[in-house]
Amino acid sequence: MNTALHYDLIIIGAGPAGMSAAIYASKNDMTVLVLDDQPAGGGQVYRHVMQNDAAEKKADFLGSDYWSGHKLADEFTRSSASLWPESRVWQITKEREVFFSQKGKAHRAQAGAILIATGAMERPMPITGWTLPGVMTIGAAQTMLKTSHSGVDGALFAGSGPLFYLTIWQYLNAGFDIKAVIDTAPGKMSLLHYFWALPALLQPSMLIKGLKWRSEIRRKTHYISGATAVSISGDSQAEALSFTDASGKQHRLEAEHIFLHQGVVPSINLTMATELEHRWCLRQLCWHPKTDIFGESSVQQIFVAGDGMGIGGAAAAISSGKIAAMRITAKARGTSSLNAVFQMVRQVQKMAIRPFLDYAFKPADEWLVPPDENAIICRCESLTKTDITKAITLGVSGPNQLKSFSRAGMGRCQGRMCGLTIQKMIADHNSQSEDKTGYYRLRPPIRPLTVGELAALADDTPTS
Amino acid sequence: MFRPSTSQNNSITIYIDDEAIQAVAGESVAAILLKQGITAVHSAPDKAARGPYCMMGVCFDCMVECEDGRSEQACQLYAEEGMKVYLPVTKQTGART
Amino acid sequence: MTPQHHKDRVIIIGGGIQGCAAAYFLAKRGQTVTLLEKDNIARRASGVNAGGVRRLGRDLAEIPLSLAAMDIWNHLSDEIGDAAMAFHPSFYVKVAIDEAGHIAGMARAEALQQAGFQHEVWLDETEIRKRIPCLARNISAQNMAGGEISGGLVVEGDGWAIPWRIVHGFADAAARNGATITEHCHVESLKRQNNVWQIHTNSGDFEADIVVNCAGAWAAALARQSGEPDLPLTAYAPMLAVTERRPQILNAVMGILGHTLSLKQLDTGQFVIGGGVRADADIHQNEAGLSIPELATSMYRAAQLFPDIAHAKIIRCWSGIEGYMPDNLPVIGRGNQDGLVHGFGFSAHGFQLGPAVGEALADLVMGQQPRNSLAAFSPQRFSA
Repeated sequence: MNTALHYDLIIIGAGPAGMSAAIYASKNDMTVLVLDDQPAGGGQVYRHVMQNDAAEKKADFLGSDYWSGHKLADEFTRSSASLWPESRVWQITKEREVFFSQKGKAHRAQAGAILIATGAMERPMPITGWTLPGVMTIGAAQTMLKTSHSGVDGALFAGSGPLFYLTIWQYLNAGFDIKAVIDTAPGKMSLLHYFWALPALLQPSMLIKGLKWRSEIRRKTHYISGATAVSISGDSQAEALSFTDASGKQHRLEAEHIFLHQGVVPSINLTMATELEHRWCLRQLCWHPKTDIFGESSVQQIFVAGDGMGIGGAAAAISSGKIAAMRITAKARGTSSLNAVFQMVRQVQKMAIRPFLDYAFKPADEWLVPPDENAIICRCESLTKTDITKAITLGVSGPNQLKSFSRAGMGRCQGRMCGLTIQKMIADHNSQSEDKTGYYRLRPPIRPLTVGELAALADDTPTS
Repeated sequence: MFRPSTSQNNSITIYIDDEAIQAVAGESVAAILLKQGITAVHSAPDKAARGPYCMMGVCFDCMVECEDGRSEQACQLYAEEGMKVYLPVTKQTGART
Repeated sequence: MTPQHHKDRVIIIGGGIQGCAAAYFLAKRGQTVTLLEKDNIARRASGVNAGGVRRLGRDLAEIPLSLAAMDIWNHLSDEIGDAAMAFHPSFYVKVAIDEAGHIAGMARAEALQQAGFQHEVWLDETEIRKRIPCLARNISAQNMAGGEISGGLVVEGDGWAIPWRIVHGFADAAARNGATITEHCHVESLKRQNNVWQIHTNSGDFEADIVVNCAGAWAAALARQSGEPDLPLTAYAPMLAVTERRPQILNAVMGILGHTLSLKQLDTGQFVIGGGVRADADIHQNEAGLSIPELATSMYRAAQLFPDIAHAKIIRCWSGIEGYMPDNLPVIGRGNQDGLVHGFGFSAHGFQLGPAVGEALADLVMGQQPRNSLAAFSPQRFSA
């Protein structure tokens, strides 16, 4: 066994929440280890920000929000927290042991406290043809802009949500031609939702920014709103996208590159495999780990911050990371957590727009479960809606039982791409809530590791 | 095909199915493939071609094979000089149950 | 037990392989039978075990039962129909990689011969390599203790099955023959009053003349609750790992003499790796532990036999909750009280035995003489 590493705080994820927590904790003399998938800090939202800066800000087209992350990433890089890049955490125990692999080697580390800041992933949009090569998520399109300053001309964009508009706006800035933008936002909210969305007025700059993106997209692209029944066709590559517009007219547009988006949801594989308690969020239609006001989960000394605890966006993530770090530091030192409570006031301000965004871009049912029986639901095992329906009608009580019935969720992605869809299908079939239906029983390793990497942890193997 | 909007420093050579490709050091293999116009990378159990979808390590549809026989997500594999990767779509393995 | 019970009500508690097989054989013989399962059919050890259908390496006392089970496995579609396709017969090999393994293997082969068993034989290295060409040439060059492969014990016709499908096959076949299968039915108390079992559950009360205790890891608690003497069962969570799909290199189920490993490659190309590694289990919380690092030795052994496996990615690990007896032999037989039959404590090697145990339990319930002696499995062996 490799010599175990010991840290006061181990942070998983070097996005806005993880970086801000690392900065605060290391400044306050905590020993901090940060583990992240990527070669440098930034997370998805500020991805590649340090490398882009080193290349003399060639990526101005990404906009000021992106570049605001540079200050944070720079401060993180200069902090005493140690970042182990390209590290994939595959198990956390309740005793706060962290197991991870880096470049083909498995390691174990012991922490006084753990902060899970693994952020969000895009909500799967399982429409017909979404598995065809050439179909990617809007986040993937944005990643290509951030890390490679690359895009495609003549692509189609279908979906809705803040990240959708932002990325298209960035695409335009970078000078790529866009074939069409097919907006699936329903465009209508109930009066009650308008009421609950009122706090958004506390963040007028955010609202204005969003309206600006949208109006620019309307002006500069072939923009169709109120689209339904979106599907993609192609033989071994995306060839065309079909949809029905708000007036009921059907369209077919040809493109080899199609970008989809239906909002983001917390990445729950690590929090669930660590057996933290979760609750179903009706407003965001996803699972949130249960935490106290500081982000401490149902397991003592394991904290969650950022989008991984519920979608709040980058600014809220920075704040929640800091709150968690303040609390963790205060607990370690036996001092007061009052500063964390003050920080929370700012946190609430930064979340003000969230209910509005959640209601305005709530995905319609057809994006959650495809109406087409032949649409693939489980990408890893190539299982269609028919396959899943067949298994459900055998009488399953939840997604976990469906696994053995159908193999759904048993592939490499460990349910990330099918979990929410299957949960909803079972909930609908059994006429029960998502909460009651439950999710897959996620178990470590939450990231694949090789047999060889694990074998190297065998106790009687001499370490070289 | 994905094209860069800025000038790129293609300082290294990697090999995709033994074909030499000039690439930016540290760029993800998935990004390199996309800039080569390669969208089909992996093959699903039903033999259908799959390619980079999420670019952030969650979908596992951009699996490539490394020289030592290990499979990696191309979007999580960062290019180094001389790296060799093979695309499973060109050599399908495993039968579907 | 007295003969007048033959046509009476039978309740089986536990929907694993033993309970479902017993339900099937009882129903097939026209017995009125109800099976109560607290979760889902095959939810625990029976559904999530490694699926080894193995006569190899069994305790001498278990061999007759294991051979009888194999007869059923070999004609399984006659019993459970299409679900039998989930059984993939090939052969089972336990290779010797060091001197201790070699000596133990040879001695085992010798002992079996003397006992008159022909199914498990020693093959030398050449024969083994002929059967499994991808086996590593030289395993001594690696870090961990080991030497040359010198041969191994082989059983032709052993293989693997998708356990979940087999158990469901028995449950469905039982239901087709008239058995009632009730899931999510948790037995809260079991008491015998006026020669009738009173069974109180979360979904109603039941009465039975005969109760068959196939409650696996929960069986000793159930027995005790019903008024039986304590049975020394311990619950653990045996762990397994499965890899991504890889090119086919292994057509046998493999182990190593003297070392913990169970290795097979499914028809999908995925490797299933485990073998004797277990985490803690909590029968009250239904919690099976899982500690990936504990699987490291099995991984090491698998890669030792097939170096290419070292590059395979583990995509999933799991564990089930199983009941273990101190002598690693199951408990199969009549309880101390009238109308109670036990079939549990299979100590993580009961899956292959299931069909024969089901038959034996049916015999016990119906007051018939089981075709194999169950003396070694007597529940009373612990109370001496």
